[in-house]
Amino acid sequence: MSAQTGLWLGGLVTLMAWSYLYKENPFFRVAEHIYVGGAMAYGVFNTYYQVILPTWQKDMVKDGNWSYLIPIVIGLLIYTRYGGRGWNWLARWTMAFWVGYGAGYELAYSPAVFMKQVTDTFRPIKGINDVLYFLIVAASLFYFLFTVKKEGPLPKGVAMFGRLSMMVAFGAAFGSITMAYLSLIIGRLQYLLKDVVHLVK
Amino acid sequence: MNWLRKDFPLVLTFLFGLVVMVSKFLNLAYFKLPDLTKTLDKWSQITFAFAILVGVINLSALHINYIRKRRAGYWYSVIAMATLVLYGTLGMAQGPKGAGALFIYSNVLIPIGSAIYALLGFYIVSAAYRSFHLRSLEATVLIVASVLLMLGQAPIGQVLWYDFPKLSNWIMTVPNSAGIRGIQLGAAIGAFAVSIRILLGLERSWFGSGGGQ
Amino acid sequence: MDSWNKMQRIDPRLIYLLILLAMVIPMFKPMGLPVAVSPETKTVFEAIDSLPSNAVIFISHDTGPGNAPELDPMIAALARQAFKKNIKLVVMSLWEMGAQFADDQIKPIAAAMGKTYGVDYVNLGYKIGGSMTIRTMVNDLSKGAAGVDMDNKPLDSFPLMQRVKSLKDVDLLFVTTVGSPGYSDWMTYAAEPLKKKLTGGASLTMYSGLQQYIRSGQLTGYLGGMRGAAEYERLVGAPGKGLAGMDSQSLGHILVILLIILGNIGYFRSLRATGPAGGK
Repeated sequence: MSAQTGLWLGGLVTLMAWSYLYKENPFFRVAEHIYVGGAMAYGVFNTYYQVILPTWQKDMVKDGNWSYLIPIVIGLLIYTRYGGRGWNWLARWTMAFWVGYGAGYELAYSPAVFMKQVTDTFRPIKGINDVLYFLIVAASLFYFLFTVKKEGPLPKGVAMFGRLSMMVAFGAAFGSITMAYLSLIIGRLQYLLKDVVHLVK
Repeated sequence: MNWLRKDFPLVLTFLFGLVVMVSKFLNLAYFKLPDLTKTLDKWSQITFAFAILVGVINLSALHINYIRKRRAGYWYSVIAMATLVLYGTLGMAQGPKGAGALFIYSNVLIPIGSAIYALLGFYIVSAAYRSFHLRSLEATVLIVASVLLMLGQAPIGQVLWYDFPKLSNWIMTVPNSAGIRGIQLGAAIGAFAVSIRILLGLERSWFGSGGGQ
Repeated sequence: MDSWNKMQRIDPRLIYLLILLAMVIPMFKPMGLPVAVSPETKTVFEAIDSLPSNAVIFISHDTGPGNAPELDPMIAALARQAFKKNIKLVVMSLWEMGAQFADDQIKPIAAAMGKTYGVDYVNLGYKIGGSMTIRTMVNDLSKGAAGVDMDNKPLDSFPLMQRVKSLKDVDLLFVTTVGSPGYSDWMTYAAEPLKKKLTGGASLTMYSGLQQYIRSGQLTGYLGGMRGAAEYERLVGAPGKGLAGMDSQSLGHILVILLIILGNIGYFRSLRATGPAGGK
């Protein structure tokens, strides 16, 4: 099939998906469910071809790393969760590997990243922004300090300052997210008008 | 046998966590000890690859259940399952770079996925119109910050006032950045504490049903 | 009920239509509004510009289909800047579909600039496992990639991969990001322990949340969304889909701001009509 046929098809399914803006309708639901099934299928065969097959062909058969059978068994144990009460506890061994290993990495590696964030807050003052930055970090941390009662004008004021600073952050996040989603619409319109029907250069 | 179900996973969790920390904080080469993480990192990757069907099984079970019970709109579930089986078979036969598999990927899957995701853009604007009201001091600060940011980030802001991009950049890099840093420092301490609880066997929510306390 | 009150209850489909118009009109009638380059984008450009010829940039295009319009143009512009300076690219993705997206961007540019696959760039494809795959690649790239590229060809058959044996051998990490796994995994498990520079681009959905890392230098600048991509395209001197979208983006923002103002006028009018309690 030619590239243009493919683009027409892409344009058609895009319109099917966007028909939801008018109202809920069968075209949208069909597109949605094709995506659900298709994305799952892609996930499986993509992983098979890019990870599982080369691990088997190269790492195991060619290089002789048969010890990889151990992680394969650990990975496969996760399916015992569908095996009823007699077996499903075996899936916990897989989970134990993932959770324990992940927690170990969190404890071993995240402090380096975290500490730089702390030390950077105490940088030499070169201007008003550095002072403001420090005050906002301190105030927003103070806002989340629930072990002390914030009574009296000063603690209340600091907590309020922290709260307002976080509102600026949330506002910035909202503004950014709006921009992001608008650019996704632009992306789709560029696809429809430029790539599919060639109306826009 | 019971300890294999309840205690052994906790012992495993602790040991796997310990391996990482020993490898990070001890100079293993000095003690002439092997660095087990080099092996376990790869193992971890392989376990993930072989667990890939979990999502497929969960979602299929859901849809097959809909079909069995003939729930309203069950034939959409038929479409999802048929796509899974047909496209899955094609992909397994051809590989992700095969002509047919790639054609469907580029011209059906990606366009639908992107289009559905872009729907959020329409909703967020409509939501802003309906609910972005200056109800309180906090709401006002939030809205003003986001409006200034949007003005500064779109080229038109610069046309309206030359320094708009600078102002929005300041909002982004000073008050926003500092506010987020405060929140994140708090969250990082929380994540750290959860990791310690997991390794000590105090946090067992990952056990799933029937496990834990 | 006055007209302001009616406007509070406007059919959302009218708003959707307005959005579509605001985005489509500039595509037919470009306004060519100026795009000022932010310091963060400039830092990204300079980080790549300061690399010597033959240096290696490691790209992880960690995105799904949703955010590709924001992040794909960054990869295209990066490929142009890098190839112009004879810098080599090793590409992969921790997200299922990202590697194919990167391939779609880089391949035509490489062909147009006379670059050879295997010598000037290699695409390792999608790698499952998130941070654990990064950890494996820190020590052994081939092991993390199961020894093959995207098309199942052995990595040791490519000249470029002879000198890129692990992440220790790359000069710069360029990571696009929309969530997890993403920049924070690369920062924690590769950039920080190896003391490598980490740069890239983020969807604007998370851009405001990573500013503190740019400030601390843990990220070397970062491109923010389609706007960041447009600025970068301008610096590279190759206008693409990023810059093309900027006029639409402008009108879109104006529309959002107008709608917020209108919504508030309506809100305060209805407050006055029903008394202060009516607003809550």
